[in-house]
Amino acid sequence: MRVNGTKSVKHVLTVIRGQRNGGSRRGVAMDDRILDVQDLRVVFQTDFGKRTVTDDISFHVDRNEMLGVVGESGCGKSVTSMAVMGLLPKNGNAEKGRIIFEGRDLLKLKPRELDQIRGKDLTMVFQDALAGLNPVFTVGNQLTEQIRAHEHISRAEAEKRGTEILGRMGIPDPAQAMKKYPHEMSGGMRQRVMIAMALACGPELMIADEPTTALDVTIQAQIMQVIRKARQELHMSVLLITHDIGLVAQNADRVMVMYAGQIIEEAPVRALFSRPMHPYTQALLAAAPGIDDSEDRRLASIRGTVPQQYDEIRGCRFRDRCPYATEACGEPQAFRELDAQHFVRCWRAGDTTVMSDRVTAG
Amino acid sequence: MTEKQEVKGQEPPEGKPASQSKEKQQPLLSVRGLRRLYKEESPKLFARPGYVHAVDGIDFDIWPGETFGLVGESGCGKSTTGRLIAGIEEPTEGTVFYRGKDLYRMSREEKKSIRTQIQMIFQDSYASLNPRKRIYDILSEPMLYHKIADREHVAARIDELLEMVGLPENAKRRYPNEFSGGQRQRIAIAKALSLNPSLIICDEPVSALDMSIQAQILNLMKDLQDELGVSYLFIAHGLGAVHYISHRISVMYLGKIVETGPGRGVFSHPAHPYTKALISAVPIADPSKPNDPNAIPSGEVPSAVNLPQGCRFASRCPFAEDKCRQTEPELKLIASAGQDGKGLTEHLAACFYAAGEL
Repeated sequence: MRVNGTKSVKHVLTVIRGQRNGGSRRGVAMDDRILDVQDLRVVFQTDFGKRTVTDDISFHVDRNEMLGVVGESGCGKSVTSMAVMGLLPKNGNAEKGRIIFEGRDLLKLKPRELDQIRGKDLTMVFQDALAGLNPVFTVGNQLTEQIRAHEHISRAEAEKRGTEILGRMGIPDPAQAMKKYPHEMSGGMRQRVMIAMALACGPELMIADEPTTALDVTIQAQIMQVIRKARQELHMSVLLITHDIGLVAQNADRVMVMYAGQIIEEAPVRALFSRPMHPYTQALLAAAPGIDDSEDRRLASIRGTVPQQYDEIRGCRFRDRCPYATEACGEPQAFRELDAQHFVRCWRAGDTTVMSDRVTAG
Repeated sequence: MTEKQEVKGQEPPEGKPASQSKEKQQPLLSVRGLRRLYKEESPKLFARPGYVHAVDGIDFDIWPGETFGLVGESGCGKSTTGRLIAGIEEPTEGTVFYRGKDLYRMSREEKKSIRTQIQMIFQDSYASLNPRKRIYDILSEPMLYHKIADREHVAARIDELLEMVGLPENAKRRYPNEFSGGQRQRIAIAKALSLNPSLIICDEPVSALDMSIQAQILNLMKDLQDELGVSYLFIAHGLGAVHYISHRISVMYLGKIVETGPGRGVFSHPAHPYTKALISAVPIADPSKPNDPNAIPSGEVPSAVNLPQGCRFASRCPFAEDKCRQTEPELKLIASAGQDGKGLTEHLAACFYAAGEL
């Protein structure tokens, strides 16, 4: 696999990927689902016994798609991504369900088989780039190691590719940056390095878990631009996990809203923002202060807090905080399709005449 | 604060110290030429250490009953400003007048009494609440120390405070770790209010909270202000929250205020290129209104040790010209919606381009 230094990274990566996928496989699988999670349940062993952290999680990511996952802290969005990556802590376990990545169930793979996929076809960017990078090795060292772990190329070639990718990520003077240690870089630059590592082997799916949460808003805008560009050039899919509904609105194709360990709504991004159907989604959108709000707008706040022991709740987990709750909400809620591709876990959700304004009026 | 003032004699802003009749016409707090430098942490072995210009000469007034928002990215000096006013740190230069009195030149006794009137709320309320004490003790101690309430009345006062911030009465018998982040922030607010302050410095009070809880706290703070007439210095990096709660907003960049004015004016008609960049970088929560990808500012904030000559934003500014790189622009009036003698309607920006001088 000779890499011509003058060619762009985009070209390099597509060539690499073409060879790896053998062209035809990619052609056939073009409109396939890259990731298909089916009925996933993650449990944790805690001091207080077994706790079901996420339950009934089914979703898919199409090729070339960005799926946004939003929810507040503790809703299970990060646990879901950790389960996909096989990075659950020791006391956590994907007890039930399947995680199909490119036709293979990740939960059934041996560790060695998983290692061949992770870091290459399936990669992840974390919020805390400083924790994700090894402080005693240079950026270049870690980047080339990552490339050479998956591809049989010489150190010099790997270094050349690493430098090119860093440059692509908008790092000024990438050759110099390769020689730096993580602590010598700013937070934004470190996050670019993390993304470069995630992209280095031309992944099919990149999971970005709060990739910009620790960054300033102007740097966040730059990083998201880098991710958008990489996505276009590499035709990869992105699973964007965030608590920032603005970030999802601006970047995702489809959105999934999570609450207390369940997916409660899923829809194409425009549909979700123009016609949110679950009372929680409605409240979440109304609770975000915008910079173009009128002066007399009052933020809608959701009363109460997220239930702690939510796995013991039989019915709707939002019931205690919901302004529309009735007796029937005590029953388990089905995740049903109300509109084309618009799924909601709320039996009252179709009843929009009753439900449209009250939450937003706060 | 019409112009950057060089404070040498440290004159109180309204001439003489407060007399009762002047009370209404006097700002609660006047910051004049405030500057705080820190010695560089790890200079090269034999090099002379440089200085980090955390806050580099800022002026503003806060009026009674007003919320003054301070926004900017990390390292711009907004938190240092809050800590200087709260008395946690001392300025290198410049000063702060509280009702006409110099905060850093007063007797111990005076200081003690004035410090009750300026309270602070932090981002991490867990760190500011003693984990070994019950809420009752956390709330009663400052009131007893400052003799705001005596032992007999303190219990009733605590019930009243808890009700004000929307916590159940039995909260006083519990420990901080038994509460969620939002509830702890309510306790921190109750603690700040317990001494009847006229100014509360809020340093990123809602940044660590989830969106729905953030809305609860912001609404609570607004309601308390309507009820008690307390002023807030609201320091945050989240533009949405600052816009929601503030009457006036100042935008800081590298230790300087680059734009200041009424909240609506600054955010709907930003004059300074940095404010514009900041606003256009906030992702809009509406997929049908895409952010302008061309408005994303390039580069990063330069070092606060070796400050550039001229305008501090010039290296990232799309409009910068030679003049900007040579001379540092001062705050100039951009727009004003009438005269009120307090400058509350004045919109100022420190930019040659915005002032039409390029």
